[in-house]
Amino acid sequence: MRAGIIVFFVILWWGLPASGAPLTCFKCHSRQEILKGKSHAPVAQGQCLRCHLPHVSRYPKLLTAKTPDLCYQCHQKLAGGLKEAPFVHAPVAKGSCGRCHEAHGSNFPGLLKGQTKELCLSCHGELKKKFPKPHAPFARGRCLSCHEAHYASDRVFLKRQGAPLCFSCHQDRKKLAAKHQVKNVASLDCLSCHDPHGGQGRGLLRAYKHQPYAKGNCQSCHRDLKEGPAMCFRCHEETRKDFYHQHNHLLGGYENNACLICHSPHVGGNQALLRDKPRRLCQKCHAETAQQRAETLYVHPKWKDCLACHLAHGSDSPSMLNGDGNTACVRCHETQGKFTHPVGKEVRDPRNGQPITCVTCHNPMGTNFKYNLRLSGEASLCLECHKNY
Amino acid sequence: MSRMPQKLLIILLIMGFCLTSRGEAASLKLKLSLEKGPEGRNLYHPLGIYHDPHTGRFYVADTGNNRLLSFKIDGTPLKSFNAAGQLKGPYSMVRDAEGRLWVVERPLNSLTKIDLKAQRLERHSLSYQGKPVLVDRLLLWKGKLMVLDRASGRILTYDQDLQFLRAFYPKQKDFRGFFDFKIKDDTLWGLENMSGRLFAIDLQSGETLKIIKPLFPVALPVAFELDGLGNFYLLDRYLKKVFVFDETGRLRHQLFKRGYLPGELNYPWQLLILKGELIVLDEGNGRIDIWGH
Repeated sequence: MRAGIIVFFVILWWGLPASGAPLTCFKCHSRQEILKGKSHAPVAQGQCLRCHLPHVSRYPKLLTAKTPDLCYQCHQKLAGGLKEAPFVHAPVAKGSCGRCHEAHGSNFPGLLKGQTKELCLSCHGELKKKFPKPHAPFARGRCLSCHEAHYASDRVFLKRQGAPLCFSCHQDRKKLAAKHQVKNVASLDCLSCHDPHGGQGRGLLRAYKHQPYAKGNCQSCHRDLKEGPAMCFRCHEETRKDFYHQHNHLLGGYENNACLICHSPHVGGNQALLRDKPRRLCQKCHAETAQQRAETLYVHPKWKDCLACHLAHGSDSPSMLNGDGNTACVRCHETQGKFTHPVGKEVRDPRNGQPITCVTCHNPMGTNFKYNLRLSGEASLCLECHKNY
Repeated sequence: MSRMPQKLLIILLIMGFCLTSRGEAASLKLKLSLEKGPEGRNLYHPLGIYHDPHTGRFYVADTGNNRLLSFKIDGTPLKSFNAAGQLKGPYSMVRDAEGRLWVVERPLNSLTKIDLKAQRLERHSLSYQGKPVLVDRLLLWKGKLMVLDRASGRILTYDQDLQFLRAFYPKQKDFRGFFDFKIKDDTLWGLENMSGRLFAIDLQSGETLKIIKPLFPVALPVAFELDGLGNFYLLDRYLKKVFVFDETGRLRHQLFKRGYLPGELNYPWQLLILKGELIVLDEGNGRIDIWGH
C-alpha cells in the first residue's frame, strides 16, 4: 500500500512540470528542451502566457508583443538605461535579445546562449587569435569583467573609463607609479600603451614603439612637453605642412598637445601609433558618423576604414577627403572614372554651378538608397537636375 | 467655463505658441546669392567672407579659384583680384581703414599684407610664444589685427606692424581652444572646438564674462553669430543646419537642410549677421546666401 502511494506520487511528480508550467503546453512542446539549465523566471513560475498567446498572435512564436518590447516589459531598468546611453551594443540596438540570450533556460549565466567568450567572438572575429601573453580575463573568457554587454558611456563598452577600470585588479598603485615613473597613476591612459587582450611580451605592450621611447631616450620629448605640437614637429617636420590645408585637424588647445588627441607618444597598435583603430578613434569626436551609419540602409563597404578615403591631418577638400570628390573614389573605382555620368571640372551641376563629382550623387557615409545614392535612383535623384526628363 | 471650451482654449494656446515660435524662422527668405565673380566664373570652395564697414562691400576669399572677390551690398560682383597670379589659397581676409588687404594664405601659412595702391604684396609668418602660429580666421578691432591661431586655439592681437600685443583665451581649466570668433563692441565671443560652447571675453580686462553651453547636441559646429537680441546661431557643418539658441542655451529654431538647391546647405563654413540679415557661406555649394525677413 505504502509503495503504491509512493509510486502514485512519483508518477504525479513526473507528469507535472517541475517548474509548475501549465501541463497543456508540455503536451506538445518538449519539456526537456524548454526547461534546460537555469530557467527564465516566468518559465520557472509556469507563466508561459506571460510571453505567449495560446491561439493566435501577430508576432513570431505567438509572442504577446514584439521583441525587445516584450523583454522590456519586465527588464525596465535595462530599457531605461538604453534611452540615456550614448553607446548601445549593436544587437541590443537592433532589439535582437535572442542573439545572445535564451528565452526559456540556459546552462550559462544570464541565460546566455553559450560561453561568454564563444558568444562574443562569434561576432568579434578579429579577436580570435592567440597571444603569446594573453591578459588573464581574456584568456579565461571573462569578457564581461571589463566590458558591458548592453550599453555604456564608452565606445568599446568598458565598464569604467580610464585607469580606474584597470585599478580594480591592478591595485598596487605605488608599484605602478614607480614602474611608470609618475606621481599620479590615475591620470594614465593605460590602453594607449597596453593591449587589454594580450601582447607579445610582459606588460602586454602594443607592438609599435615610438623611436625615442624604444631607445629609452625619454628626455628628447619630455623636456619640451610644454611646446605642444611644435615639439613633435621638431622631428616630424614634414608633418607640419600637412596642416597647411584649408581643413585640418590641428585643434589647438583641445589638449596640451593636439597631436596626442590621436597619437600615442610611446607605443601603439599600428605604425602611426594611433590610440585606437581609426574607425573607433575618429568616432570619439565624430560620433554623428556612427549614428548616420546606424540609421541608413546602405553604407560604403570600407566605411570602417576611414583613412581609405579621408586624410587624417589636413586636406583642401570638404570632409578632408584624400583628393576631390572624384579622385578619392577612382583610386579604387577605376572604371567609374572612365565611363559613367559625366563628371569633372567641365561638367557643371545646374543646381549650384559646381563641378559634378562622384559625391554629388553618392554619399558613402550612408543613405537609404542603393549604391549609396543620395536620393532614389529610380527618379528623384536625376530629376533634381534633369527636370524635363 | 465648461470643460469643453477650456480644452479648446488650451489647444488654441498651444497652436498659437507653436505658430509664433515657428513663424520667426519660417519668415526667413532668400534675398540673394553671391555665386559668381564679375567675369561670370562660379565661386569654388569659398571659405572667407568679410563685410567692410567703410565701403559697405562684401569681400570673399574664393579659395579654390585662388582669388579675392568684391561685391556690392546688393550682390553685384565688382572686382576679382589674384595679385597677378601670386595669391595661393586665400582662406580669410579683412580690409583695414587704409584700404590694405590682410589675407591668410593657408598653403603658405602666411598672413599676407596687400597694399593695392603701392601694388605690394608682403607675406608674413607669425609666431606666438616662440612657436609658429597657424593663422586662421581674421578680424579687425580698433585698428588691430585679431588672429585665430589654430595651433594654440587662442585669439592673438597684433598691431599693423605685426608686433604681438596680447592673447585672449578663457582661463577655465576645461577650455579646449577656439574654432571661430566674433567681436561685438568691446567683447570677444569665441566658439570652442567641437563643444559648441561660447565664451564672452572682455577685450579690455581679458576676463571671461559669460559662458553659454547649447542645451541641444550639435555635431560639428564650425561658425557662429549673435543677433543682438540675445540669440546665438550655431552653424553645424556635418548636419548642414543652423541652430538658433537663446541666451540660456535653449534651442529655439533649426534652419535649413542639406542639399544643393537654393536654400539648402552643403558644407557650410561661415556665418554673418548684418543689419538683421543672415549670411551663410556654403563651401560645398560654392555660394553665399543672404537671408532676410
